[in-house]
Amino acid sequence: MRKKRTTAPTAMTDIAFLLLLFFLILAISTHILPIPLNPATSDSSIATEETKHILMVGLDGSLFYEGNPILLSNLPHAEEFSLLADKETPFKILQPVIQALKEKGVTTLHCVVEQSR
Amino acid sequence: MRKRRDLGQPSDIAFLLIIFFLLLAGINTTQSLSLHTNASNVAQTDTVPLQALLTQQGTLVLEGTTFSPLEFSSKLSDNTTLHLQVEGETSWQQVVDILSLTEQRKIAGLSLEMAP
Repeated sequence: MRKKRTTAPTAMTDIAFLLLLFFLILAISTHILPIPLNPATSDSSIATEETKHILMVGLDGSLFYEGNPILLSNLPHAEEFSLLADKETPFKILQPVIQALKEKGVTTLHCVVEQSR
Repeated sequence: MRKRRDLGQPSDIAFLLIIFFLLLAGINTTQSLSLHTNASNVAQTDTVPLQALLTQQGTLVLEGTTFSPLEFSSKLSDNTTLHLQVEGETSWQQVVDILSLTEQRKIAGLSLEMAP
């Protein structure tokens, strides 16, 4: 003889929701970066949100465009770029990148920063 | 007599609230500071040009005098065009700090170049 079901079906939907939210959090909090980066922080209240054409610069000067390694000469043409670099990167590594972007016709460079807490 | 409604498990609701606020706190909003690369090419007659050197210690040298970034910010106004020379070993964070200052002071233009 089959046992009578004691748990309410609503409890199952709650668990399903919890699982859904768990994986949602996991997906949002996991930023897959090709290199370990510690971005510069800024407390500027007028920082603008702009994250298209992201160019990452590693501490050793390695370049990654939209997550893939790239050479400076192979960068696509765009008027605006976002530059994400480690806060400890010396300016002598970044200056040739900024100069090359300028020569490629980039008019606005968005320096990606984290909001300082 | 009124029927008592089943509102579900309070612990489930508490869990949902915890996860909601966790989600809210975890969303990392990336922000950026704009740097106009053609700022030095634009001829601006009514602006005051200012040439400064950003050292690797994070200080600024203006006409032979050394200033901290905070002291330097008082020299900036909305009609200033800043030509910033940066020493090669200066960290990106120090450059971003100055970019942040210039955005706050809403200066007319900024150009970055490597110090000779």
